[in-house]
Amino acid sequence: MATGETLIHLDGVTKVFYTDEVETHALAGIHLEIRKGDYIAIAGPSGCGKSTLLSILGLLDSPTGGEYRLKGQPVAQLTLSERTRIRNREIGFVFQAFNLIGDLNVYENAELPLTYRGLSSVERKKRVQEVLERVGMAHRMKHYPSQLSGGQQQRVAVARALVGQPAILLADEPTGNLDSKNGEAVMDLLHQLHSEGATICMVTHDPRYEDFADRSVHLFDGRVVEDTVTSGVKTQGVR
Amino acid sequence: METFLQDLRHSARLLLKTPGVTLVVVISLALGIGANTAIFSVVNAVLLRPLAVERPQRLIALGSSDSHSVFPHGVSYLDYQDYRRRSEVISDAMLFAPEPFSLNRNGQSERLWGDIATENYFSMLGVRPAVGRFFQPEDGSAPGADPVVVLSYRYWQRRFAGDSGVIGQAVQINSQPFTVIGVAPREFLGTEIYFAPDIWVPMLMAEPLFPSHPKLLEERDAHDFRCWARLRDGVSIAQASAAIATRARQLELAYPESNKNVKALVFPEWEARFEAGTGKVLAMASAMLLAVVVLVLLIACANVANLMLARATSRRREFSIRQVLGAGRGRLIRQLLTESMLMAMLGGAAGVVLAVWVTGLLSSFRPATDIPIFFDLRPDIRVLVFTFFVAVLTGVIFGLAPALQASKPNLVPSLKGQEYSPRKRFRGWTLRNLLVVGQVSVSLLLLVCAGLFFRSLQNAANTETGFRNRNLLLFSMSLRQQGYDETRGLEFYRQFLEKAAALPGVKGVSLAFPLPLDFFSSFDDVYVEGYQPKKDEGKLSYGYTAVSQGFFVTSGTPLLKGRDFSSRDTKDQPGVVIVNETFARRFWPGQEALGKRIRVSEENAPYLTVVGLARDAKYRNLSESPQPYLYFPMQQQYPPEASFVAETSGDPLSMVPGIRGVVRELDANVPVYAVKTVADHINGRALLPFRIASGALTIFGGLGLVLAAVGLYGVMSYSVRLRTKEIGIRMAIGAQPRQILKQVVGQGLVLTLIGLGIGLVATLVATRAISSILFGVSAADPATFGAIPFVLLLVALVACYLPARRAMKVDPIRALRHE
Repeated sequence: MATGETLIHLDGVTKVFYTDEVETHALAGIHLEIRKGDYIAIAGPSGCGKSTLLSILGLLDSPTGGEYRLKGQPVAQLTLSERTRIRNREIGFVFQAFNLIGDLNVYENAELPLTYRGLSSVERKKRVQEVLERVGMAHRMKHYPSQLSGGQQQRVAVARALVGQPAILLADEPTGNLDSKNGEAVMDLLHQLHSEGATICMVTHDPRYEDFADRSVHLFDGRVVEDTVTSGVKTQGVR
Repeated sequence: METFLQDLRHSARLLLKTPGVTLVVVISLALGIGANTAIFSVVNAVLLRPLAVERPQRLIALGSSDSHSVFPHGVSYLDYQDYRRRSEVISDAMLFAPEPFSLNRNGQSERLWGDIATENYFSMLGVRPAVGRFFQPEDGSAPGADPVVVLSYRYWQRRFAGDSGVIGQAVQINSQPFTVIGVAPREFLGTEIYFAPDIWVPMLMAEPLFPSHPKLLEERDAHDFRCWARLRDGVSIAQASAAIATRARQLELAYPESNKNVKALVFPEWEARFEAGTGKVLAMASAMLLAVVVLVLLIACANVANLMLARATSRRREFSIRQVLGAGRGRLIRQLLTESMLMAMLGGAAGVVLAVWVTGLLSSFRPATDIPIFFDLRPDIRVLVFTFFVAVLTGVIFGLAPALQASKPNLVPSLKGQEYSPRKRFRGWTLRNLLVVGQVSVSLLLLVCAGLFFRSLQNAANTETGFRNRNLLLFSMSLRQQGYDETRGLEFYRQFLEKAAALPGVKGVSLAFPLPLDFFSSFDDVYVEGYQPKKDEGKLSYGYTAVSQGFFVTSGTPLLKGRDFSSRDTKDQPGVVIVNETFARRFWPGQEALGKRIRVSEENAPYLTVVGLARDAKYRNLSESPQPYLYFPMQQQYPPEASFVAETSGDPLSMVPGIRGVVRELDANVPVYAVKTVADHINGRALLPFRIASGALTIFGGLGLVLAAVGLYGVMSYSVRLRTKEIGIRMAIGAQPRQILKQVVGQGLVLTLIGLGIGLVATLVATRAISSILFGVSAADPATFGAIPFVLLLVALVACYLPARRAMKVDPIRALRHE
């Protein structure tokens, strides 16, 4: 499905956390390239740096060293508001804990990125209805998150991630808080989105879901130790 | 606009979702904003609201001063005519004076107050009548020839039920026939903000109306009138002051007898609304009151900010999600400020309701006098605009810090529901602590000031006033408007005293005018035999009271030497006077005062011989230094109105029906008014400033204390909730509940002690500013400075104990699962 156009390019990205007198090297020189149309699973044991990597990819956090280019542009020098604007337009997030806003209903949650983008209410309405129909939640538009099951909440979260038509969808353990049935359903949804052309980068520690992706990147102690194309082509210990 | 409405909708939903927090916030703000609105309503009425006249900003008030009085006087009728004539700085001027009248219609008489005013009073002010007409130039053409009267709107409604047919009707005023010609508009309440006259009569009717003062308009030194003028276009107040001062100097040269050392004073309209020259004092008092309520509002803001900080912390994840989805920091701050603005507006609206209630109470306050004192404190558009801006400012003050903090979340941990890093938590916690420390400090300041004024009030109430402090009945009656001449008046007084003394329960009776410590006082020029005033002294003028025989015994001011006045001290006998100790010390130090002689009013008036020496008393206010004072016998210095002073054996007010009966028996038309006990008399005037200061500060200080206690409780509760897991761990490893109690209460008390420490320093500095208006108490009074912090500490202890008790009951197993 990948078209060859590079969306994300990481070159020697490191991340060090400093807490009191302790230095923690979460990422120790990551090289990674994600192309348009990719469906990548980032896997690895707990504490290997998966979520840190995803946070850096999503511009939620900054690397300590190395270079990160998004659509060919380096992001290191971006101001806070530029990062926010890029998040709003280019990146869609799906979290393990759904992270819907409890005081907003399904429609309002899905609408939020468009509101921040400043679109007209007519345009917002059109797009939100479309995306909620796409994830099968259009009939629950007026419901609040607390009135939905975990699987339904995650569908709404996916809808919210998609509504702004981002360049890439970042999913952090999207099935982590779901039972197996709902987990499968969400994975099916992501698979379907990918087949429709979406670029997805998903963090997971569940091997079953790695197979949904067409490329699997394994991290260990902050390094990429395996980058596997699930179609059968496997490269080990890339740099 | 659309996103604003969206924010507003979301904010409203949030407020409804947490009604408890919303209620606490709205009540806190309503108290803070309401206090500000109420005080601003008073300031607005006293200083800001323009009079309901044409171009009020072009009005000035004229007064005069001389070398022996610190207070400005009014202007005499003759001086007024000279100022008005040929003036290049004023286009017109008018003169008026408030006076009591007796108005009789259809055989029913009532005492009321009105203005005696020059014929151009209304035209100079630019007021149009509601009904009928006002005075015309010809109404003032000849003395006593224009018996017309204008009614106030309130009086017209009250007495004539708003009947337009009243125009042209005949009434009697002070037994003189008058015709009603017009009604003033509803919004026009006269030119003084506290005195709302019921009627206006032409100045040239003074002679028939007040036969006891036949030459009132012919005495150039009768500076008894209030004079207002309108500046010509393009003339500034400074230019007018200079020109009028020049005119005053010319008058001094032309009339050296009456106008020696008399200087003209010019005040802008706002400075003369209470009385000429009081504007600056009122402005200062207003500023102090506003400062106090602003402090209360700051305490309320600190409370709300604390609540908002706590709420913002619990909403960190929501803000992180919004930021992840593309909300910039400014957008988040805008949303949070919309929330705080909505709360501030609700608090403001509730505050206005509170202020309307409070100002209603204040407006209904009636001092013990029959003068129609009326303050129109109703909130107007200016008050509403003020409240709106206070609410907006309040919303920013309490909303900004939480908004700034909440809009800068640590995105990744927040999204995972993790707590702040220890360093950040410490920073947030410190801001909340600072707010509590500030609240305690400000509360201490307010309460100590309240305590100092309360002590002043106590001291003032225990001061030797010159009146016995119980079983004394006072009331006033006026013969001025009933056509009594001096002979008939004195006979009335004699018969009245005789009959009143015979009433059962009455131990002693006397008459006096004016009563010391009343709302008005009398002064006269004094010439002491053998005393040559120094060059800078000018004329010597001192306060006096005309009294009947027995006044010193009934009132409780002892005669130290000599004799009381007797029935033989009549007008055809040699003049006599009783002086007080200070007068005697001032002019005859180390000498016997009895037998010395003085003259009053005129330098060549007959001598009065000192026949008695009275103990010093208080005459104008309780904090005055000992003043020279004189007492004249009523039979030699006839007052057409008098205050009755009776010593009773039981409840003084139980004597009122009997004594009213005596007045009725003598003359049913003589009005009896200002009936009061001696306590009412002292409270009504002399203690009023201390009562107002002590009352207002106690209310606002108490409000501050409650808000600070709620703030401390909120912070400690929040701290306990944040540390539930930590407390659980401590208990799991063996901490006793009392150790937890000690830890929580200790934390709160440390904050309180820091607040008290800072507050004590600030209070010691601040109270120095009010030391001059305290009475008999030091600005650093150890008792007050000891007791108030102790009270605050006790309140803090209670506020900390409640959350601490909850902490003691933490179940370690549940706490360890606590998120």
